[in-house]
Amino acid sequence: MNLTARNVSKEFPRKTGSSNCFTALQPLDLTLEAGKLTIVTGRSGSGKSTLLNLFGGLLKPTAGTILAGDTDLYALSDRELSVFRNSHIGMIPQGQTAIYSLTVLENVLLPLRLYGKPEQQDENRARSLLERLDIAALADCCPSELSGGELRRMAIARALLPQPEILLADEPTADLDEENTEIVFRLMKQTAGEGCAVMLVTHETCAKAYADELYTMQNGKLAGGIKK
Amino acid sequence: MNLAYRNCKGKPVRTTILILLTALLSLAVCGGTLLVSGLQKGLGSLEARLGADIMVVPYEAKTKSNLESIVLQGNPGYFYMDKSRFEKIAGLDGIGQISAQFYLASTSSGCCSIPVQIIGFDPATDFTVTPWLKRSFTGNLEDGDIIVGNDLNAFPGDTLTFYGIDCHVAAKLDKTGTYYDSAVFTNIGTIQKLIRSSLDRGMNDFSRIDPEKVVSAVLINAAEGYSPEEVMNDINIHVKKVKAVQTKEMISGISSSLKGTSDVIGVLIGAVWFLGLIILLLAYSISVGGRKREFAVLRMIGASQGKLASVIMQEAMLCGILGALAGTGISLLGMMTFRTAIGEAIGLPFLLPDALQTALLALFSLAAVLLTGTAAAAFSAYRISRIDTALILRGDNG
Amino acid sequence: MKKPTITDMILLILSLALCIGVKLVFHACGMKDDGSYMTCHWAEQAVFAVSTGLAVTAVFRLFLDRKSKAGAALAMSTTAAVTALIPGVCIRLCMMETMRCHAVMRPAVIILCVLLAVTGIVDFVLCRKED
Repeated sequence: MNLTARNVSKEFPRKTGSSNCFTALQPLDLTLEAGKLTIVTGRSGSGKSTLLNLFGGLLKPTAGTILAGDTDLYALSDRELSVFRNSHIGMIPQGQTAIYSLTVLENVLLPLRLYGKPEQQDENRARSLLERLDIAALADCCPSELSGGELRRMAIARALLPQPEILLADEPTADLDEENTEIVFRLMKQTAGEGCAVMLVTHETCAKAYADELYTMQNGKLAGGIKK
Repeated sequence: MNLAYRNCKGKPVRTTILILLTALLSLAVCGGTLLVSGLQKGLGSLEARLGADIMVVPYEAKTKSNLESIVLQGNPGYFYMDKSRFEKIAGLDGIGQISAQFYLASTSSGCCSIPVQIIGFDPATDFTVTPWLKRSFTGNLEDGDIIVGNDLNAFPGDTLTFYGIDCHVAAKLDKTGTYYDSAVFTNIGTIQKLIRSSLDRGMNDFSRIDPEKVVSAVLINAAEGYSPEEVMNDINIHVKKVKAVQTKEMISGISSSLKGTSDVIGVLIGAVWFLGLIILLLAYSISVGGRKREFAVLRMIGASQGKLASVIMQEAMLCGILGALAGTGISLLGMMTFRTAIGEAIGLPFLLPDALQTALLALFSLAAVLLTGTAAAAFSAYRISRIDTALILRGDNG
Repeated sequence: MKKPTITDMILLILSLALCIGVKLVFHACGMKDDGSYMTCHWAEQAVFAVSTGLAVTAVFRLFLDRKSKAGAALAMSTTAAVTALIPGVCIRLCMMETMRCHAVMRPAVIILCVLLAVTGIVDFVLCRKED
């Protein structure tokens, strides 16, 4: 499934300053193609996370449309959009994103539990994802017992478990060492290879080696689009 | 795995505090409601038990204080006046129903470690005791038979001994919440025998009386066309050495103090309920506010606004049901078992409502507390369902 | 000794409260003027004796393994339920219900025993669940 942004822009109201609104994202057109890993880099505050949240259906654009396949995300009702996100979009946001009353395995299985009941094969897949991310031994631990890097990998496993058609990752390797960073990038690349449209926002320079398309964000403007 | 249940289980301190708060709230609401209705029922019962417009007692009884101590507080006591006064009163205008009563207090010996009030009445003319007795006893009260109040630990078929005379318990009264509960009732023949025996044993303060020529009190209902006040004044003017009082006036003191007590309890219930609502509102607000990020994560993985709200509402229902059940249960258990001690402590007629009414009151307070808890949580649920997920999940480099 | 659970502590506190309380706080009616006791005194003595046993069991439980603890909790629960019946049912109390043994002792004993019985069952279920 492709994710297409048409003339999408985002402005935030601002109480102070000369203007009463702040443009976080200049109008842009962008397509995340299925089977490709798109990498967006840029300085802090350049609008990368805003773009990611717009694509994830979490932030309504000021103008323009975002289509996932043929579905206009922001024309859906809250419930329809939520169900759509649950079944088609995987997200890895910044920071710690664990539900602390659940174990690591339960956290990973949570997306499947929201609107259904995971089966044994889902649990097997969750365990194999944890294995690949080198945290299989922590499956039954509480998130409070995990380090920052381990929590991050748990969030990656959770986003990948429902086999999303679109994967949006915001600094997924922020707390990871070099070895684990490599593992995660390889996993992203593999996910794209399986037909998923993957967008990765990162600071890591080594990520460029994995990119199918590479963009740079500056002051809300998207530049680049280098195809490799 | 239910997320709401796991959230409650995962944070035992938070959950315990919420359950305790709800339990305290329902304890206050259920206990207070039962207390107020118990007082109201007690007063109603007392009014019904008095059953006469006017009560005439010998002047020496110092009327109000002595009389109220017997009739309202159930303290055993006795006083007598010459029977001729009864006949004189009966001859006055405006007397509708009239019946005499005889009082005696048992000594601490025999059945009971504390004195018991013995009340003799004339079944032929009585109109105050009999209607109540009929509920538990339909037979004829033979000589030597007694009917015991509900607080006495004696049962039909038992024998109680007063002043050396064996009395056969014919029936036990239902609970009234008034002086009836600790009294013993019998007919004129029996009480005259008992008075005689108390005199013979030198255990009666009135040593020079003839039991057959005295009465203790005269109960009167005014005839149609006469007001009780007129009749009372008439008696006070025309019959010497007696004091007539209107029973309505007698219980006016008690009913106003009862109203005062009920009002205070009512205000307290209201205050506790309001305070409980505010505290629960804050508690849920803090509990949910501290987990904003978790709720944003749920939103990110596809939970709708409704789903998010339902997680919070389920948590609130879980804590609410447990707390309300515990609080209501404890207050029911406490009120039922300590009802006598509570009545004694308040010093007012106290009669708990019957089982059905009590169950309804308990259900009502359970529902009220549950509603309060969920209303408090609903506010947090509404707020959290509208959180700006993107803002919460955003870092500072975007 | 494993760290005591909250139900272990509640069982211990409740049985101690029953055992000490029935003698010092919610005791039965006092001695008569002639120095003799009324029947309620013997109900008080019986409750004291049984509750002392309950308190000792509650202490011993702390040193037992999980299975034995579950058994002891169940035993405490049934004993507490029966203890509630001592005043008024097994041993008659005084004549007037307004007297201390009826108004104070019996309700307090019933409430503590009901709480003990319920906590005992909860503890039993929790012990079994852990297995």
